[in-house]
Amino acid sequence: MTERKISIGFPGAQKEITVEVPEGTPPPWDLKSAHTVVGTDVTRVDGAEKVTGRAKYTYDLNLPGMLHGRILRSPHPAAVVKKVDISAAARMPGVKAIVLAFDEGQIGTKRVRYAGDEILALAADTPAHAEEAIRAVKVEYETLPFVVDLDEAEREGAPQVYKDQPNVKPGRPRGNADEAAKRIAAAAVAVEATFRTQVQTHSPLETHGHVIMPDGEGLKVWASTQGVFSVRDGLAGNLGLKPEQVRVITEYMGGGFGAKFGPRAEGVLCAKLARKAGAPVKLMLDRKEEHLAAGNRPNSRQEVKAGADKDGKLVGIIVRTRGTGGVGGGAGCTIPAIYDFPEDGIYKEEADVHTNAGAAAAMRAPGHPQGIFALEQTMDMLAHELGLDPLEFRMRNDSDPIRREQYKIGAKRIGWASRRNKTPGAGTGHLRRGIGMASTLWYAAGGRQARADVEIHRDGTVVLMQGAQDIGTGFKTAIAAVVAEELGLKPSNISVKTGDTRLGYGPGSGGSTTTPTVAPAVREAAYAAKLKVFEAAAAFFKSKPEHLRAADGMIWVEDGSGAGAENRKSLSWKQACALLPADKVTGSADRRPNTEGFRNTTAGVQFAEVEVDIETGIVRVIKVVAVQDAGLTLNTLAAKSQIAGGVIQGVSFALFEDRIMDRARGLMVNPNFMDYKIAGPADCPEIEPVVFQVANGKNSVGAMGLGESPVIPTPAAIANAIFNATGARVFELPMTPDRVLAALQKKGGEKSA
Amino acid sequence: MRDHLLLYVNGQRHEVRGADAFLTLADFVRERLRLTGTKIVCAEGDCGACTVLVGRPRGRRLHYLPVDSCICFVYQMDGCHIVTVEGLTPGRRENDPLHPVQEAMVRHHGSQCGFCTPGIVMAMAGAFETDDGRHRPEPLDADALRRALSGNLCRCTGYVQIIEAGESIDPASVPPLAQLYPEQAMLADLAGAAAQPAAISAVRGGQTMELFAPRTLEEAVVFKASHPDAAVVCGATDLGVQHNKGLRVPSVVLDLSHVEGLSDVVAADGVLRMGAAATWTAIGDITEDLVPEFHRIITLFGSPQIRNAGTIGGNIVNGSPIADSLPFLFVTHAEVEIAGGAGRRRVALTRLYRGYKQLDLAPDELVAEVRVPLPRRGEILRLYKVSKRRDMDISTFTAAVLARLGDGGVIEWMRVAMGGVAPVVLRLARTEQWLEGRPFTEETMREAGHLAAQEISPITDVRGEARYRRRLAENILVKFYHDAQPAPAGAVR
Ligand SMILES: Cc1cc2nc3c(=O)[nH]c(=O)nc-3n(C[C@H](O)[C@H](O)[C@H](O)COP(=O)(O)OP(=O)(O)OC[C@H]3O[C@@H](n4cnc5c(N)ncnc54)[C@H](O)[C@@H]3O)c2cc1C
Ligand code: FES
Ligand code: FES
Repeated sequence: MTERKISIGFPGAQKEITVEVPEGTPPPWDLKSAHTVVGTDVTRVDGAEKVTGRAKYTYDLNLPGMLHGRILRSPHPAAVVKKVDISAAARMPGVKAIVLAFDEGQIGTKRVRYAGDEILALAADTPAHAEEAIRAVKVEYETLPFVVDLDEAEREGAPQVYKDQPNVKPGRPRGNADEAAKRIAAAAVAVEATFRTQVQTHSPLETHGHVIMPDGEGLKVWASTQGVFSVRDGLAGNLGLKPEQVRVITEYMGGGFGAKFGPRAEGVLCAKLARKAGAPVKLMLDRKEEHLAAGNRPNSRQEVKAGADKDGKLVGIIVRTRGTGGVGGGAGCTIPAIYDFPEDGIYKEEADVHTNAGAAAAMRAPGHPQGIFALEQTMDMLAHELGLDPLEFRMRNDSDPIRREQYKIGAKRIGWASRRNKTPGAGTGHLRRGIGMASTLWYAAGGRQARADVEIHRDGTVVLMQGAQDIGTGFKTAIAAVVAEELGLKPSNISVKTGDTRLGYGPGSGGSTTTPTVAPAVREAAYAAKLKVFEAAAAFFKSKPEHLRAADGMIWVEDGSGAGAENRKSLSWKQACALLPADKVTGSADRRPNTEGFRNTTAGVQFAEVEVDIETGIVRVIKVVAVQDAGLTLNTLAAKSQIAGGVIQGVSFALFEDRIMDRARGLMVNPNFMDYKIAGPADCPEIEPVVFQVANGKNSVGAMGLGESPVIPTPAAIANAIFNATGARVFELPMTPDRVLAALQKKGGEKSA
Repeated sequence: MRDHLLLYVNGQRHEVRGADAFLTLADFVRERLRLTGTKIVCAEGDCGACTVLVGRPRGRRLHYLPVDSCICFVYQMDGCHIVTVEGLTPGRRENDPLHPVQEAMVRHHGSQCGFCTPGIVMAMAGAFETDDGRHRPEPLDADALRRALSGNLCRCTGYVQIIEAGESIDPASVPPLAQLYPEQAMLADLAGAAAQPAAISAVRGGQTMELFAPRTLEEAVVFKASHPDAAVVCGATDLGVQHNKGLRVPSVVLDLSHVEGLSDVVAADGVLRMGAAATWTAIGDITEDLVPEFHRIITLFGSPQIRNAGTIGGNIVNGSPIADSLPFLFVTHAEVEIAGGAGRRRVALTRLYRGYKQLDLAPDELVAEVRVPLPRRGEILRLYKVSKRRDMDISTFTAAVLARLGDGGVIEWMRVAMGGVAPVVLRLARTEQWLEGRPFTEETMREAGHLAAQEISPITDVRGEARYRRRLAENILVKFYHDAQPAPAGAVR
């Protein structure tokens, strides 16, 4: 163990700390580290596979003798399954296996709770045969009363989704309601409003699905998943196998956004079909099933009261939220943690409300876009009441050093001082422009379990092995960059194996943790392997391994002169590897816990400019400036892509997406992409991603997760921009043309009243 | 008669027989040819993940356009050369260079999960194709790229780096497909087959399927008379969606896409004549100078992939109250020519619709042509399409206003049509009558708006609420007043 001084934070808020560096591990990267690969534009290591169509997704696999699985789902939002008759289906051409989604003994009493609930699955030799057989299954249902609407489900006497449970399930309140109310009542200004957000489905382009092949006693599984290890453990648990009997592979997968963890019902059914048929089975959901039964972001109704004193300091906030995760839970919203509310001025209570709709699943920053939509509009409303510039108001109430810096950057880039309407809605003509802003924070330091192995072969080949899956974020490229940096090579020199439970353990891709969790173990494994090359090369240099240095594909003795490999005794990487005593050497490392470092959260701010057609209510987002901290960025190309991708999902959530339920029939009316709209290229504003680097020193790499934070503030920033453009505030998502027109009319009405 | 289809895929010749002819093109390339770069994501033309380039013989060339392979059928591809993402770099080996579009997508990090990428690559590659088979003269700018990609969805990237990739491409570096796939031998082979109509019957899932793809309208009419149940197919952008949803899987198909002259678009003597099988792309090309306002609405119609397949005949017969072409055709007094067993007849478009998707069209009749008297000099035309998303979205509300102003700013006449406000597209006769002879002022139009809102009977559905549609009906007439003001943008010059 040696002690090392490192500088962390960012220029302007730099901090020197002392860290302990265990033997055989590299000192943490910090503000002073000079990198040649990490933090530059690194193109994807799997780019060519993707653009040529050669990348094989689970959906593309075709094994010899493979069968095609299909699920029969309840057409009713609530019913008892009285009878299931599979005799005709079993006789249909090509049908090889049928499995029920529940125990046979439950027939007669089994309740289905939403339209889309699984009844059974079958496998046949072709997709068409499977489809035809599904239609031949006869199920008798006794339909029950149902409820699909949040407000209706809360009412006394509403149909109960779970027989022995009320629909409303309160969470633990936080803070002191009376104290907060007292403070708000005494405040110089106070505002009160109810905000609503809609149900959003994850809508990855590749649907959920698996190809599962019986493999001896065990299973070999290809999964479109965010967590190969969770699929392994889930399948093993459900089928009475040991985890090591199940191998799960995910080389490519087409998006998840939080909905693809574990095997879920469809994975378990697929595995059972494969075992029953004794053949590989492919079971991919279709687009409709994906909307109905594969997870979603719960909706919310948030009643907010808040106050500020005459100096523009926040004094208190009360937030009461309700949301429905359908038959699932998890409908809470973020706590108002961004701004400096006095601790005893905060009161928050929330409740999950069950409805007869598909279960929620974690979705990119669960709870946060919803909560921030309410919080940031509340901030703007208070600023308006105080007659303060909304940015100035935030500066008075946000002590976060990173965001304080980011506000300045963002304001300058959007033209806050010159382009914003000093009086909201002051423009003329039918197209009105306005600017708004909102902030974000996220927890993204990583740190769960992970193991990485790096092999260096005598021919110079480097193989990095890590079991976690790349869900598209560029994880594979990021860890290749880390190894390349450590070994002085290029990312394309590193052959990367990921997405396989036979490799070292890696976390599920969720909570913005994959890269920050895995990267330090990867770096330390590369470092350990490099030391072995240095040991082999030390004799050649007549030096000690710890005095060698690897960069630009060369190895030489570091003498402190700062000069590179040219004009001095050096070995190329290949020459050095040729000196290895064995065919290959391996460096391995387990993730060590984080140390204190700079901090656990990341910060960001976004500024949006919109144009509102006050005759049709159509909102166009013109520009979004997104300033985002991602710790130490490993790949700036990927970071920008994550930020822009978050922003566009935010735009899409703000303006278009909405799972619409027919209250009378209890069915989703838009389970497709024709009426469930997600933003396309033409809706895409000019997006200016600004990557704000912060060295956090919590581990040997110091990367922070970036997957979730950028999606959080966009809808709120757009809502605030609409207010600035029109003087009308929209309290409900999505901010569709009809809602915008209605808000405008209401505002007009107030004026003339 | 030919009992098979002839087509090429990535330069490979295929004779397709039997039930395969009835597959969607996407299933054919994925399942039969195992070309899995093409993805099926929505199966209804909304995401472009299934985009392929279809080369149709035109003169002595193959003319390549991107289409959504999930909603077209193999039989429509008779006589065509299809290029999938695997075919962009014929003969490429592991370390050979990529196609410039692919290379740019890698360099600019245009993929995250990559599931949309093949479709995006194909749509972008298609945008570099030109009518004359040479290199595109200028690079594509961001606007052109957004338009070219408006039929593609990506859930991950936010599009920014995809657009940047497109902007970075030097068009001189992009090999036209004519260069990658020498055309003459292929064209000669295809032309030989094309001379005869294709007729295929097959059995699928116990059901007999029959296809007839005539070369002349007469053949088509004769077939329709003997097979009144046959589903007529032009571009299949409506039918393909219905097919994939299991709503309409016809056993007899009459494919009009190969009928000689039925895709022609010509303008003469102030009349625009469009064959029923004319695609929106073809109509868009000719109207750019002729009726810029109609052209503008066409550019908002679906996406390039949809416009390259969808036709005016299909739009009219599909008969949706929010079909984008109808308000324009209503205010211009367009007529359709109908061909049937009993000969030909002409009907004013406004008379064609009897109720929701109910047409004055007998089972043995086909729509052959649409004739539009073009707006004259001095008439002001504005068309409106309101939808949630800017592109690639079915309308909530559509409207057309055509007006002639007399001396002193008096309204000589004004024709107003609205869609999405009743089971059929409406001409607002009462409002029109009221407007006649009144001064063209904001006041007048505001009042006319109130009248219009009373004349319609909108419903609430997934695309919008009734009260919103009423408000739009009111506002749109005021909007027309503003639009017609300083430089009458829609005026016919
Ligand atoms: C993603 C997507 C986006 C779309 N966007 C728009 C849009 O923005 N605006 C809009 O208006 N529409 C839109 N549509 C609908 C569709 O593209 C249009 O209606 C198109 O013009 C239909 O033409 P088609 O040739 O493809 O029709 P087809 O599917 O071939 O035919 C449609 C119907 O008409 C019948 N038919 C076709 N031709 C004839 C004929 N000559 N005689 C008798 N019957 C005939 C067919 O039997 C069928 O019932 C969209 C569709 C999709 C899938
Ligand atoms: S799969 Fe979406 S357009 Fe074809
Ligand atoms: S990269 Fe994932 S959908 Fe586009």
